[in-house]
Amino acid sequence: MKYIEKDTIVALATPLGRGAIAVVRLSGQDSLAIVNRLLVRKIGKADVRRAVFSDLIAADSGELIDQVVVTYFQAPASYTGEDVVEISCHCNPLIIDRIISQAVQQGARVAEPGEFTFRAFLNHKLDLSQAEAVAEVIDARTSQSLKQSLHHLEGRLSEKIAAIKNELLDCLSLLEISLDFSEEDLEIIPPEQLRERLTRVVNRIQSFLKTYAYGRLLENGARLLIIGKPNVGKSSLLNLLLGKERAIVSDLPGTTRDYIEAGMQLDGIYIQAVDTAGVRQTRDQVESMGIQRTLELLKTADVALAMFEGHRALDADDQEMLRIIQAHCKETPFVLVVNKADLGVREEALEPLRALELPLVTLSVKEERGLDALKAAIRKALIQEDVGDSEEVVITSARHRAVLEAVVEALGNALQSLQQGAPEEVVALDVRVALDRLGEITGETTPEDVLRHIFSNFCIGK
Amino acid sequence: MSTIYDIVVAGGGHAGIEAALAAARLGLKTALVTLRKDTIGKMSCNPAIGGLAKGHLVREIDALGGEMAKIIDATGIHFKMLNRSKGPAVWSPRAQADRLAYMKEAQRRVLSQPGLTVIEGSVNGLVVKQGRVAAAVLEDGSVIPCRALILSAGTFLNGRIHIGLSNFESGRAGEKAVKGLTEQLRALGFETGRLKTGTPPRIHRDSIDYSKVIEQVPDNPPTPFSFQTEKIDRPQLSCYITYTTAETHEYLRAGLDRSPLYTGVIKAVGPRYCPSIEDKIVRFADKGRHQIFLEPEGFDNPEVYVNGFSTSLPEDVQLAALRSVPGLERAHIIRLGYAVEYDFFPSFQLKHTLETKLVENLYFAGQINGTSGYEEAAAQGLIAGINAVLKLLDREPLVLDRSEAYIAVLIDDLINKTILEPYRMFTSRAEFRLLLRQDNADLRLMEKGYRIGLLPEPVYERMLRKREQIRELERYLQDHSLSPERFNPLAERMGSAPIRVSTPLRQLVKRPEIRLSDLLALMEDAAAFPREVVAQVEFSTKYEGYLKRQQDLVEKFRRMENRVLPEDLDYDRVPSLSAESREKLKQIRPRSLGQASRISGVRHSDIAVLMVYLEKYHRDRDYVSRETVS
Repeated sequence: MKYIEKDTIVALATPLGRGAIAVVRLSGQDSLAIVNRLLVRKIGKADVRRAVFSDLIAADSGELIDQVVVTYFQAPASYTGEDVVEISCHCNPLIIDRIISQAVQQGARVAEPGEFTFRAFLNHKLDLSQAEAVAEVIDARTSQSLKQSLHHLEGRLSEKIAAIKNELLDCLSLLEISLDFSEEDLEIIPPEQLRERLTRVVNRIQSFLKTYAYGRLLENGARLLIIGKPNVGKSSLLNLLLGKERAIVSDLPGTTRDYIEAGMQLDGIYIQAVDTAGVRQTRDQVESMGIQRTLELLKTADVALAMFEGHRALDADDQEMLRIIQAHCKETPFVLVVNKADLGVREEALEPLRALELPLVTLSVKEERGLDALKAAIRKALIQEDVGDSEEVVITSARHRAVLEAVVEALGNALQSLQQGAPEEVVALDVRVALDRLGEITGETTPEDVLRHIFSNFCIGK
Repeated sequence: MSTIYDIVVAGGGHAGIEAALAAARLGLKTALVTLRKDTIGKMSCNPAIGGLAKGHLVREIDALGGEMAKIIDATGIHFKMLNRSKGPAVWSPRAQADRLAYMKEAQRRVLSQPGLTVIEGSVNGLVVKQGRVAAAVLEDGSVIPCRALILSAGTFLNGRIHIGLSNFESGRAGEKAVKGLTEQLRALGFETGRLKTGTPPRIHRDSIDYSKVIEQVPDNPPTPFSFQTEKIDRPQLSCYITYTTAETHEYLRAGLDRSPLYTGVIKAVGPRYCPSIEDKIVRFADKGRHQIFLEPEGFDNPEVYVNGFSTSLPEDVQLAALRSVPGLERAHIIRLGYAVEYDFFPSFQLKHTLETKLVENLYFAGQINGTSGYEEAAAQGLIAGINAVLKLLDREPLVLDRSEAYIAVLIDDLINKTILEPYRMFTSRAEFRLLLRQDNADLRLMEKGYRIGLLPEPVYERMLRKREQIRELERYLQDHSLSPERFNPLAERMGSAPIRVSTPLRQLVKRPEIRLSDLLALMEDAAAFPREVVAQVEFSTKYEGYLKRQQDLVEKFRRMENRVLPEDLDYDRVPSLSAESREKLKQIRPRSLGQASRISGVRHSDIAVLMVYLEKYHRDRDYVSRETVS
């Protein structure tokens, strides 16, 4: 319903796949101003249609997000006919996410699918013969949730939403009965019971919302980082995980100077595994830059494997590792990997690791032992929430998540009203708001639906 | 050559009365055509005015300058404010009327109205010239030339009454049906449908065993309907409650083979919210008993209305079933229950002024639009009457929106929703329910009533004073505080938390357990505010958060209402509309995107398509004009 607004929109313009670069596009009169607030090298009028290389930073903290190439198209000579800025960044879902959310913080709005094309159409960038096609795109889009979920999830998502809607409709009609049919000889639902039912709906939606993280993993994949001191076996572990020789393996510490990436599948989740330079105190400039890079990568990782050796006590490099883990384990899930189990595992090696209270797996890369346990630990670290029985239906769309969050908020208001003993019609207001929002996924709920529900379930009538 | 009337109203029911009085009071030469003068204002069914949501309608009619509230205030015998245990938004006044007195009072008002002529007869046809009403034609062939015609024929158009398997032409018990008018309108291109409604038997009040029924006493003191009524001092009567028994259900079930409903004789659809008793026992077979209200029809009238027992079963079944109900063992039936089938005109054929789209200056109001209930009918009568006048005087029409009045919800629903059963108002139909209260109908609508010319100036000025006092009190609450010493004793009494520092009244009122009147009593310098002013401010302060959320929804609604659809929009040229949506949009021709989104059968996704098309339409126009300039 936002198609008519004239604000600035932002979205990923390239497909969400694996590739070298991705393009984030903004369109609207504030595009340039918004992007300039994120760029170290500002874009001016002289830069129209020129590719400009710049660091892209977080506007608030100044923290580097990525190095990007920016192209500015001035209205009306652009795809949409408005001011358009295209940011080519590295194709990493986390980088893309951060750029988009920075743009949103600066006043852009996440575009509805098809909205760039739609604006192009409105601004006569597409000829009239294409009008019908565009309208069809939009048409398909607005009923998208139903159609798409039918497609992708064989209807289970819509079933699930429909069930939530039905339960809310049920609760609402019970409220409405007490308001519109209070003169009838009907049993009125006690507030306590209504509260229970609404709470159940909220819980259901919330556990459903938790699948979003998992859904995103399915959709975007995850980034796995392997860190550890030099020669602890990071590259060998990566190779083992990949099932092929990918990283350069040698006995010389520091073989992996920067980092090496490779893609793999784990239980249906695409994992971008990153083998990093070894962590140690060093004066070698190239190597310390590599370590610095590792620390940056940690911030965008979905899971980090911290490798140690089990056959001897921790050394100074390992202590450095412990400091890094302690500094980052709040934001990044860690799995401690104790390698070289083939050489024996000593208690004094394990004890300081156990003290971290993080998941710990003992294995031997050389003997290819303990891999299943590691995979299970990775999976658990990625999917922190218990996805439970909703495992088969997950939310992958940010739009659905936003709608469901709004529904939860409205129901929270309704529950609070019930708690305070507020009259039914104000409780009903928020249940209606919830249904109204839910309608953005499933289609509108009208007062007619509520009455139909009442008449089909209750004997009304003087 | 007979007299030319500005406005002819056909039908003297609750819609006709409002239409005719409004037209005459606004200075137009008006005629009310009714079968008999002495049946004007007859309550054909329930002897009551108001009720949940319907009470809101009556208060709104009153605020606009209509009649219904005053008539019931003058003739009510059992007033009750319903839903008192709920929040103020859903309180609704209801009153039993002395049926004969109500009718007499309505007649007195109609017959004494200057500029209003009552003609006995029935309108069986009309003359249309160049797409515009030119005259009404009566059954005897006489022609009444007029500039506008308001049709409010109730259940009379091809009315057919059913009792058991026997049926006969009749508009209402003992009165003849109107034939020919539907046929002529159909020939003019109108679509018609059939609906059904029913009424219960009336029994003699002395045949009730009052020891076996539960008494229901009226409010004391009664709350008037009209903002202009100071006080009601008529003596009041009680109603009584009883219940059907398993035996009752057996009698009814045994009679189903002679039910016109269950043998397929009646094909029209009746209201789901007011099913017949036979319908109830069939559809809800596991319900052991059904509630029955025994409602007196007046002091001098021995008839008692058996509310909840609407039926079209044969006489012997009605009697046997009734007599198995506790308290009714010796019931004497004065009039039998019956079902009536009648013609109606689906309202997509109307504009929001209730003028028909097909024939200019022809208006439809009341049951012929598919509604049920006196209040729904009266509301439409008033709106049709007012708009017929405004149009003839070349003034702006009166079209309310859904955030302003229940009346608007009613008319908007009639036009946009597919009517499958008689339409009744419910509070749940009003999405902005918290704003549309019976206690603020004056604040919402009196300005309009006054500007139209129906609401007397002193009444309007009283409302303005009330509005000013509300502002004053709001300011007072903002500016004044209570100290802990003064407030805490009250807090303790009411089980409210004590305060430690002086606290603004505005904040204290927000506590659910604290009443504003109690706070004001603690203030030495507080001016005396009338009760209704205190009530308004208390509500708006206590429910501020909810009202804010409700207001947000209103804004969202208004934005869609303001997206006007061009009158020349060719839906056949809008790409990608679904066939059903296209059909509906062409039929109703909504004024706005908002209205389009409320039409039954128009898909949600098609609204988006329309939105796109609309934006394109406007930009193209801008584009063209820009191009022309440059």
